[in-house]
Amino acid sequence: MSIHPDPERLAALVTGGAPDQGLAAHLASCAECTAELDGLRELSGRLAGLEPVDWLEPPATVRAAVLAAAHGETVRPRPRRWLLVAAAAAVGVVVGVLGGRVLWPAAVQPAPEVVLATTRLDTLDTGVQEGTATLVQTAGGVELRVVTSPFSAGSGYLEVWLINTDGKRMVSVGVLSNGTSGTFPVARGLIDAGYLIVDISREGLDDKPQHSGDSVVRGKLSL
Amino acid sequence: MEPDEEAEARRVIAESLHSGSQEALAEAYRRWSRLIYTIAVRALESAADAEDVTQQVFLAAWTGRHTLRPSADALPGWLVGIARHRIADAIAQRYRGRRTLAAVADQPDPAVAEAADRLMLAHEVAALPEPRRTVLTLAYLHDCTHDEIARRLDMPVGTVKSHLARGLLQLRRRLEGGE
Repeated sequence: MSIHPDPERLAALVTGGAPDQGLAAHLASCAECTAELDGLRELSGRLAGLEPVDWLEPPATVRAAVLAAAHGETVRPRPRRWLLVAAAAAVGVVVGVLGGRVLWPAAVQPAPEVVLATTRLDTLDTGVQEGTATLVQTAGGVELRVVTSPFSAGSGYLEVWLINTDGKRMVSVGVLSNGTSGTFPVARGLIDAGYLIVDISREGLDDKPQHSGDSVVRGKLSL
Repeated sequence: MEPDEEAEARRVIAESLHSGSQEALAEAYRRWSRLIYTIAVRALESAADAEDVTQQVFLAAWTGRHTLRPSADALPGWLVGIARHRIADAIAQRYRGRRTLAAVADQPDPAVAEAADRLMLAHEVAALPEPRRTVLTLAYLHDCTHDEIARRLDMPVGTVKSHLARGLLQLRRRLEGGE
């Protein structure tokens, strides 16, 4: 069998060329090229059946909703404390019934907390410490606690991020709603995956869920 | 074969989306939201329902990104596949209560599938680089002869033929993963 011809020569046959002797001879003996030619013919037939299309643009609200929801998925929901209380209460009631007296949830002792890491939060331009971030293991999971000097968010809000040490990936962990302190549950897996740089940014009330680029303070947790 | 920058760009978008990049989701939306929305509007004949479907498709693409095979030709076919199922769901919703139709929910209608395939192909033609896009559009959608195209675009007939052959090959490569 001869060497396969350039696929462009096969395509040219379909779009209006005539085969030269060499190509015709090759096709007569090569099932692979014949199949490719058939595929191109079939595609050309489908193209010939097309009609011009007026493409419709979905409203901008659809894009905003998609990106906001995708962004929200990376924000860990706050722990449902009432569920923990309810679970503790249920245990208490069972124990209480078995023990012959009622135990209230308040009798459940909280597990001790362990500080996993802490960092100064410094301004990016002047390197002045303006806050602290602490990563704490609690009974309910890992929490990031942030305390800062009171920053102005301008007309927007302050958002807390964890940036990966690879410098390429980041996730939002929540909004610093009172402007000076907040506690944010974070997945342990994020920490293990290298999301160790705590960053607080000013964000506008706009349709751009990604980081504004306007960082106020930053610091790296060392485990 | 000539290098295909578009294929490379699509591979990067697919890989980034697969590994959780929101920017990749935004880029996929920029490139294919009109395709998905147009398919949905035609199938559902309702802008509001088509908006819902479009939103669902890209959100499903985000939440299901781990199931995307990150290759150069995977994304549009994958998105259109999700859209066909969502459209089937939306149609089934309209007939909720009729058991027979509810039973076939999530089974894409072959007519919807065929229309979606045609739109996907037309969308790929529209995504070709110029002047190839215009050459193929004139030849296939407006039935112009090679000589007519050469005159209108002020290019040699040989160049027209070359664009047609290369464009056809490009489309075949692009659609192989979407079938």
